[in-house]
Amino acid sequence: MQYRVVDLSDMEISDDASEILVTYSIGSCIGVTMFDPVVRVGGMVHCMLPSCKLDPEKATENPALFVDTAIPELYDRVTRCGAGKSRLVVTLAGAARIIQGHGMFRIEERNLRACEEFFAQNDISIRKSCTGGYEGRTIFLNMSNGNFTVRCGGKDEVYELSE
Amino acid sequence: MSYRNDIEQAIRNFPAFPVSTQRILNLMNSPSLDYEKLEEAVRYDPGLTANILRLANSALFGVKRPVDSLHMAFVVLGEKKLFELVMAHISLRMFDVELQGYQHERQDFMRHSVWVGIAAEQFAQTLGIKTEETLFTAGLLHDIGKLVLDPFLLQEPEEMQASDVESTSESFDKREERVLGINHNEAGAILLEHWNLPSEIYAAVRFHHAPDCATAHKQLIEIVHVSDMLAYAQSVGTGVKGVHYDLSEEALVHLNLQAETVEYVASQTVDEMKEVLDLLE
Repeated sequence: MQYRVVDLSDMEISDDASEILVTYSIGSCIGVTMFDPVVRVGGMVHCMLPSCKLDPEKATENPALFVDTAIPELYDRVTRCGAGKSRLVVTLAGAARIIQGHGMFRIEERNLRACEEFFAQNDISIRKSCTGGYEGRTIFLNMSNGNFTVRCGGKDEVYELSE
Repeated sequence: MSYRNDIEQAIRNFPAFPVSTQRILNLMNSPSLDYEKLEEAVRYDPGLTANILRLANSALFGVKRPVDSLHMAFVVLGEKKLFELVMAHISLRMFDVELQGYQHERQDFMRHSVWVGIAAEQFAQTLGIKTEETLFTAGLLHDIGKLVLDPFLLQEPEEMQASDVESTSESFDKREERVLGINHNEAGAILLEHWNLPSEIYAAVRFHHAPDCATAHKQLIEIVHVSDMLAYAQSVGTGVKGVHYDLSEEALVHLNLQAETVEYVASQTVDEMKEVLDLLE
């Protein structure tokens, strides 16, 4: 298996069963994966901030930066590659509260809200959600079987969601 | 028991900058910069020369004509950028290591340091604050004490790698102080003072987790503090599981920081980070 790394504020799509998509250290950010177990197409995004209103120009340049542009873009790209909405296995991870105290650093709360809004409005269900807590997470999407792995506090949890 | 004496000894024995680099820094610290002497000192360091030329030719400076000599690059970059570049060049070489005690994998420490340097400049720019010109460097070097403390952390694995993460738990610098007798802030400041760096830099290093205790260069220190906190919030190159640091409410008030500013700075920083890493790698 080969690892393909998804950087902070980046996105990758794959249909290669020999790949594992991975994104490291999701703190207050949000990581989203989508996988269609029938056509075996999937993708992962590591988005950083809640809303493209902050800088629309930047959002056009790089939609993966903002939750409200990253998730629609990921959805568009996987469905364009043949993934079907009804079969889509969606997961999300992140939104940890690493910094205690003042609200202005609560980027994680705003990120999570933006994320849940999108899925509710578009009637897409989330199969696994690992959010909150006080620690960063690393996530993996295994393209051969759709397994979703969350590494947090040095422990790996593997979720077999595509059987 | 305290490791303080051993750590102070380790600071004294810590490899200093190479002589050639020290010469460059001395030249840059002198009141009027002698470009000829500087050129002479720099050109014996091929890596640094290449980086200076690369930066001077990059889109960041928008120079149409190719910059092919060091002399011309100095003129294009100016003193401030040049100082930043020299510091970044030296530090990145030093920071590209794995820190087992802090559980920083290779690249983590370097990424975290560069991120804080860039974010600090972005905060100052976005807030319209004029601070000392060494702000970027202060951010870049803020955690340098971790290089000294790392092997000592490994001697106390249970204490220093506890993974209980409660919102009320002790901040990591306080834990270092309790277990080792000194924290990475103080160790870093002592080291930089030995190296004769400008005083605002070691003040920022000393107080980056306790900006409320600083008496001089307070604004610079507060900016480095919030930049570091932002890097933690975003988990940029942060190590030990279960680590947390205290956010200074006072710094937020002094800087008149808004949520939107914090997010804007994060978005700018991630972009510039990509550019800088491309340039320096």
